[in-house]
Amino acid sequence: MIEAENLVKQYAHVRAVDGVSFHVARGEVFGLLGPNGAGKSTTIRMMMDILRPDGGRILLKGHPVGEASKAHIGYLPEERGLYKNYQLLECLVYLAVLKGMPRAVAKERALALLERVDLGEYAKRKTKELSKGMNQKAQFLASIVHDPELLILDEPFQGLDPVNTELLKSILLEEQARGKTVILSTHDMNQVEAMCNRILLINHGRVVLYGALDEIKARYAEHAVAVECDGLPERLPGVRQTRSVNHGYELLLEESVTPQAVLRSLVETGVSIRRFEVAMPPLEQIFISVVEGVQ
Amino acid sequence: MKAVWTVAAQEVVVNVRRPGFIVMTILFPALGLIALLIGSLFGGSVGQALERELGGADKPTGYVDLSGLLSAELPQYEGRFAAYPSEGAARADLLAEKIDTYLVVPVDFLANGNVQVYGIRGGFSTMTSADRDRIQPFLADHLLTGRIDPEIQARASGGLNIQPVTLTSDGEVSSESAFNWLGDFVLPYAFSLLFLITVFTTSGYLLESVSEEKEGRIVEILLSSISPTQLLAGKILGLGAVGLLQVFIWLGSAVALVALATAAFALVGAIRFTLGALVLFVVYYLLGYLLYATLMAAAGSLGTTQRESQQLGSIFSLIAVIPWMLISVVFSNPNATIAIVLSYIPLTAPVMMILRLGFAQVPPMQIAISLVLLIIGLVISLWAGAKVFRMGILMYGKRPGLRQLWLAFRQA
Repeated sequence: MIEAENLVKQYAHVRAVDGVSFHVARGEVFGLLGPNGAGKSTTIRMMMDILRPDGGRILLKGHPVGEASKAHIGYLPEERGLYKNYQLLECLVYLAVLKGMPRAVAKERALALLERVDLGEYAKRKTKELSKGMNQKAQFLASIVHDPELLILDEPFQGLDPVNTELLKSILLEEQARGKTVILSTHDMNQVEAMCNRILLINHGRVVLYGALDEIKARYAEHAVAVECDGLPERLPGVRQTRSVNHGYELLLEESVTPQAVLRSLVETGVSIRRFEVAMPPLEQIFISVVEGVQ
Repeated sequence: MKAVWTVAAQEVVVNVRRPGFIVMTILFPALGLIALLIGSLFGGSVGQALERELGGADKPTGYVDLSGLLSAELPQYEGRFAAYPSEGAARADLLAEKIDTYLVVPVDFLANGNVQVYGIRGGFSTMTSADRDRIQPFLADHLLTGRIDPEIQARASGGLNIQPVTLTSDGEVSSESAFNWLGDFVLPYAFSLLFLITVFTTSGYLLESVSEEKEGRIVEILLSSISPTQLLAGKILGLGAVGLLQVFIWLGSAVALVALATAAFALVGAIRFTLGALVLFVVYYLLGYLLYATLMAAAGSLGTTQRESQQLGSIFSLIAVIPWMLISVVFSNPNATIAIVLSYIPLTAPVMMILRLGFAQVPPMQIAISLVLLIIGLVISLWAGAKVFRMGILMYGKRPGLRQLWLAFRQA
């Protein structure tokens, strides 16, 4: 769907993006991650043709991005707002018409989407009269109202309660099911784990992690299992270290031992086991270790 | 190009419904109407015209001749003037409102020309009827009838038609006719004021709309749909149309007001602007608007808040009013050095040239130089302004310093 090759962006004294390459396939939910100031926003702005790269290129469906590609992309920037004195519907329609959608179609779709997120009755209200949460939802709608093929969302769930977060997530997953591609930039690793197929982690303008989420997690996995049970025998064969974590334990295994062997010996001890799984490090931990490791 | 029109149309829709715009647009015709009404109450023929319109002149003006100099009542004044044998009779009719006012031509009229005018409402209504333009011909006719040649009498009561002629320094009759209050002073003054007001309200709206989009963080969403240049062009076109709409409403209502008073106010005759001068007005108006709109948009994109942007923009507004502050100099000598210099500086040229073109004939060479410089200035400001706009509009946080501005400017 979209492909970046060796992107470079140089500001006065800082190289904000330094040789970043990645591609996002159609129908994916792709995570674009990185600490503050890593170059995510610059990368996104280059994808949107708001900034021009100093090196490299970006292809959308095989064509370099430009004015023509903007209509195919829906963008929710991190710094966002709506016209305070416009009616909600008017605002959404205007933004969709700017993307090239016929006014009548835009109006119909905007109304349907407003209903979908429980803002139907606010269609004629000025956006400044809406609560912060409503504004967040409206801004999200502004990025999808013109029915784009690619969605680039920067912290889409910022400031939303869990109910509304779920609502927007379900809309995103529906869009994905309709073949839409989503690029999600967020600091909320739980959302990334829940939604993304593949991720790109950049730091100081360079790629530090790139690939399928499962593979990355497997790469960073220690040889360990996570167990939830009532009490643990002091010694288990093949376990070299035991760590207490929330509601349970993490057992670091000796090289030669398989998780199945450990499970068998656990069962033999007679403790009641509620959960047993091969431990995967949370993405958050990988994020922190990678970013701190670089520094 | 479609995006440009979308932005322009949106700017028109949003701005014409601003309370500020509606008030301003209505205010001027309303003020004009009030001025006309007041003028009609004070002033000569306009007053009569309106008075007839309003039915006030249905009642004749009474007169009492104590001097014995006036002839018998002349038929051409029948219905408009009514003779009374005594002041008492006239006063009774005045109080009964059969007449509006009455004149008393006293015994010593020949010696000092005094005429008393009596009215009951005082103030304006008495003064209207007392107006020289009505009474003078009446008295002249009644004094002279039968005493002199009727043709001479007609001239004496019909008044003068003054035709001023200006000689150039080498004794030729100048092609520009001499001073005419309305054409030579009021119109250039009004046109330059019109220019200042519409250009500043519309470019002020432009600044506001740019900084609103920046401050409200809408701009990045917009730029994900269209280019900064399209956004800028759409805004300049849309607000230009809003400004023109305002001008048309004003001009239209001015024409309507003139039509209302047309019987008296020979305005059309007084406008001595040639077609050429009018074309130049329009050219200066459009170029001036484009120049200021670009600068204001750049200012709007630089400030972090509207207030900050407005402070930046006010620098340009101050420069543009300079010619207006020098209006007395320009008026007394439209070809003074300072006036010539200011009509070469692009920021002051539009206002200065509109003033000078109204006040006097400007050498074609000067117009050419001024236009060329203005166009060069406009091209530079469009180029630089678009750059500043591209760069400034996404700079949140601190307002860029001059150094930062320069660095970014070289890159933008």
